[in-house]
Amino acid sequence: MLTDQGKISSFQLAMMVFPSILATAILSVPSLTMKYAGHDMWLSPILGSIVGLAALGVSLGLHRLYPGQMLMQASKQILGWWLGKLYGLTILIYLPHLNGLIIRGYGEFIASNALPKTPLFVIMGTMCMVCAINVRQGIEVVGRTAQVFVSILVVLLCLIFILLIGELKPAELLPFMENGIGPPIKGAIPPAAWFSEYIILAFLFPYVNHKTGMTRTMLVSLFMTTAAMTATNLFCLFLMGDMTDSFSYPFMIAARYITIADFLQHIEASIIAIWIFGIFVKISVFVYIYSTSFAEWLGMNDYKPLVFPLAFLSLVYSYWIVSGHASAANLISAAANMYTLTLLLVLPACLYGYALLRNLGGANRKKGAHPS
Amino acid sequence: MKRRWRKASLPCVILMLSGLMLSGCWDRHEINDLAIVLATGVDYADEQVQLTAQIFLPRKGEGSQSSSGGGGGSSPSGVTIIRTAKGETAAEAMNRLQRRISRELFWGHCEVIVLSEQAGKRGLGEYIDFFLRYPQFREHAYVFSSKGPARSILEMLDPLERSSAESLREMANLNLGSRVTLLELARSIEGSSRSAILSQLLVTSPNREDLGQQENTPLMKGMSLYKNDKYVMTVTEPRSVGVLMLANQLNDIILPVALPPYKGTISILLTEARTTIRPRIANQEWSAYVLVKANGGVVLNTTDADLSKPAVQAELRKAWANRLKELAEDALLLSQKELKADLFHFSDQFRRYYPKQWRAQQKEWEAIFPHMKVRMETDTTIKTIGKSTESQGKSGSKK
Repeated sequence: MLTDQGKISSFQLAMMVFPSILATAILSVPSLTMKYAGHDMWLSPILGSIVGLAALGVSLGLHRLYPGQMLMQASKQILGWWLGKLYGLTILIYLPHLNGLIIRGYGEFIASNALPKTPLFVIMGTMCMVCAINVRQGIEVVGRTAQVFVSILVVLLCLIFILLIGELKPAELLPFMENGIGPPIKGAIPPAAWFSEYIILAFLFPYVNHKTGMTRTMLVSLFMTTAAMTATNLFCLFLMGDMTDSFSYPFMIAARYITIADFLQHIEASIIAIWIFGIFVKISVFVYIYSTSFAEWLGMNDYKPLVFPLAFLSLVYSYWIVSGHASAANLISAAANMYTLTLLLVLPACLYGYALLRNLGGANRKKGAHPS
Repeated sequence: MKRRWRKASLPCVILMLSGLMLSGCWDRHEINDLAIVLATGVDYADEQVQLTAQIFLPRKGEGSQSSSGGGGGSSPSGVTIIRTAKGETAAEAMNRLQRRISRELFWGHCEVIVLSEQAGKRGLGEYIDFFLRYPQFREHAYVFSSKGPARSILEMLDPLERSSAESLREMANLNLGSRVTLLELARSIEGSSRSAILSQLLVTSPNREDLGQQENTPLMKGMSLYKNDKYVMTVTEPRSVGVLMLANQLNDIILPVALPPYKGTISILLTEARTTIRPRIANQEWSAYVLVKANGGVVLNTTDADLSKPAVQAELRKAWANRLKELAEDALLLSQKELKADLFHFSDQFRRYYPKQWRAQQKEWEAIFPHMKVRMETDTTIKTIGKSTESQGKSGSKK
């Protein structure tokens, strides 16, 4: 049984996933991919989207085998009660890390670009509070807020792209593949870590009311995310060239660079405001997944009592994950990317692979599995 | 009924309370506690960096204020004031500058940065890093160099504009010289060509009728050239025309062209010029082909030539093309032989079109560049000959 009885449409789900990947990726990915891929960094998100496709495939496959069950429930069906609980525990241990990272990333960005003197705790705490309230209202409200905010986000993102066109130098595209195909593949790891977050679909599919056309909607959503990430990388490359990786937030620099007809300038503050919409949806989605998974793991009927404590735990984690004076830009190290990829892609993929093997062995064994 | 009221009023109260939070508690800035900087100048003297800020003075209309205090001056119209501070680094100077001002300095509206030649001789790296690191500076700020102290440029008061910062920005937008933003400057220096071109500003000596030294407009004349982030030399007209042409920044320049059999000259206004550099590596030999395409129109004809004749036009086109070619070749000579600095980004083109060779011989570029063969070609079009066909104002030409 699900811990939330709400229903969303597949379009709303797509709207929730889009900022869940993009909101933080748009800030860090151009700089991170440039570091490894150099000039060809715009290829990296396209290569990374293969991981997104894999995560999407795993989520859809699990959903097909165990309809109406989120990943936590399916794992118990597949691995048995003990192993299933253990599997759930690894996810529950991992999720606060990811939540903490997202919240910290948000806090650092706001602190360095808009509110330098405000304590991080206030910036991150207020956001957690709002997101927790949002999550407590249930999946339907999270879906609705996503629908509203993401529409605004997309319009403004396009606006920035259009306003920047005059400053771009497409010649930066050359030399293509300066050092062969190796660097773009290496550079694909950070975007791949972001794309692996598509596994959140395995937690959210059970809430979708009309399953017909869901696969297509999700594929379109994956395509849009890839396109947006590639466009961001291209715009940063065309504007800043090889300097892209010398900035912490290249996209912010790009937005600050807009100057049209002497009056349309200094619009970066509105961009921060819009960006907050995206991060709000992202934090909400992840806190929602965290609380429903936890409630499911504990065998509770309702996830709502857990929302505030877990949101607070995520906030605390945002302090614990950072050692020393790391800024948000270098929080995302190579090791962190591998950690994310392992837990969000490799483990679910193994789970799915095992489930497929079991199903090949005989449909009867599925019935014999421990009931949850 | 009462409960419904209470229920409805609760969101309203929360909304109102959230209004209190909107300004932000720690980061609130009252606009009347800010000193808005319009332009920044960097000088270097006595082994110290001098940072000058041109600050917008909001209380216009209170008339002139006496310029008082060390390092201070104010304008008769009272729109801007100048403050300077010294320090070992630009950052230290900025910190000291703040201590001279009662309001918090706000650099977010600084649209113009002036770097003096003295500061440039030491290397621009320090200043570029500072401007790109300190959060408030805008990457779109225009950067100029100045022959004298940058302070004297900022001190000037343009009668036409609110401040000299504004006039400099407008002049940059008019494409009078090279228009370089902070980001472009950084890219140019950090890129493979490791050089930069900035417009140079001068303080003109005021005429006797003028009110004073301060009430003046900065003069944009010549270009300052930088190699490896250090200032190396200044070029003035006519050389600067060629430099601008090869840098693809030439605009609206009027050149007199002689048409040999006729006496006098024909002046042509260049309206559009595009320079393309095509690199070539054949048999290990690096060479380049430069094509300048220019459009223009005749604005003055002091010869007897009848410009409506196609033959005359063709000859004029050729003469003009030759004139442009001379200028471009002179600029190339300067870049290749005299300075040995890749001012026109040939290296970027080699990197784009011959990535493998570039990677292999990147380190030898400085040796290759001065001896590289460059073929120059100019292609011109004369779009209009103006309102008249034959030359006007010749006495007795229409009996």
